[in-house]
Amino acid sequence: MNKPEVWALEKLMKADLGKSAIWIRPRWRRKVEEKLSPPIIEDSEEPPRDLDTLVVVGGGILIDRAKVWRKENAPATKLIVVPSIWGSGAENSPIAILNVADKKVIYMGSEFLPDVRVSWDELAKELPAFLVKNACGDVWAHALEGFLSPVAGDAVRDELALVVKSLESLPVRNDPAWFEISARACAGQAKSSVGLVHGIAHTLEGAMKRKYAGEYVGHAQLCAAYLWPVFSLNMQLSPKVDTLFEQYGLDKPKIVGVLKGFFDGHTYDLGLPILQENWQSVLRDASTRTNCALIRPAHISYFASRKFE
Amino acid sequence: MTNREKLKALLIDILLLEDSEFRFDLMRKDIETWDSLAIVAIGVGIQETFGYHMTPKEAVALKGVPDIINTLESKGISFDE
Repeated sequence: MNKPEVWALEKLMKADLGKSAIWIRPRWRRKVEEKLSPPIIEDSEEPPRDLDTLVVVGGGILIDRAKVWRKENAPATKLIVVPSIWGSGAENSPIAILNVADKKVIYMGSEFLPDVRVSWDELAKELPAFLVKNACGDVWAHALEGFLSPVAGDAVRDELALVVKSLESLPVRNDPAWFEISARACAGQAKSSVGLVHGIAHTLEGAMKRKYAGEYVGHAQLCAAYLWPVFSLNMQLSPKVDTLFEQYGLDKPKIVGVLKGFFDGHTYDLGLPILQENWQSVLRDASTRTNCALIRPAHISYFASRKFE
Repeated sequence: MTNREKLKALLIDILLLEDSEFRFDLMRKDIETWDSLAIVAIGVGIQETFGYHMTPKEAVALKGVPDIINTLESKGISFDE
């Protein structure tokens, strides 16, 4: 399957976009107005259907909305995406995931692939620290779960081992290098699978939204918070983690140190009672069922007892 | 715990069965939860429990619990308890 063409911001600024609009999260209005001239539409509105080009500036949620909007409303419109944060891989993927009535609806097909991905490194520098940390945790979760997946073939595992090695030396901070490494991690896990971290995040996102109306806890935040506890459980359950790390020359102490740094006790504690209530759903989640170690009903006690601390 | 007990506990957990639903003559076609993802989980669980790494071909070819036992017995893992 083709990938989106990659443009620098300068190319977007000079391009003839025809009748166009820029769909944004409000946080980016000032920045976008400084560089780009088409009219701006905030994410609370829908774009008009007669555009030649729709430019989207935002994270995975808005990019996925734009992919589905184009398919359903204006298939001839060119879609240019400018990711404001890494992690989801939405800018590079033929998959779109929307939250509809607290349920995840998955769309897949080449018609969901953006036409152009624009690299605007400056956006990363304005991200708040907690978003950066969560996005980096999401990338690590994709890379590690994909690498350790029981359905990963040799070629995918080779590529994801290289991704993990790159991550070992990439500090958790605002750095545009994360965009490219995130794209590679997402591409790799899409060819293998993810695991329990994603099984937990998929299950808790909707349930936490219903329970904590005032506090939005998103996918990346859950992946980051539960990454170390899940990884610690995997290491206890299966020798496969150590074996594969050794086989591929990965630096386990360094990786463990990074993963511990993603742990966020507040998010973990918010999620734990809901995890306990919904453990059967987590066990049935497709991601959980392709975890590198077999996750069984009794393993909820590991999370409740916080044995990873 | 005998190997039969270990296998029973493993399959009950993977296939999300009640204890009373499990039989050693259960076939894949009779269990809704024995789907393609369960095949992956059975492969992982067999390796963790019995130390045998099933090939993808072996895991996909399993038609029921008797096939699992036959495969493991052919690798020297005894179920004669």
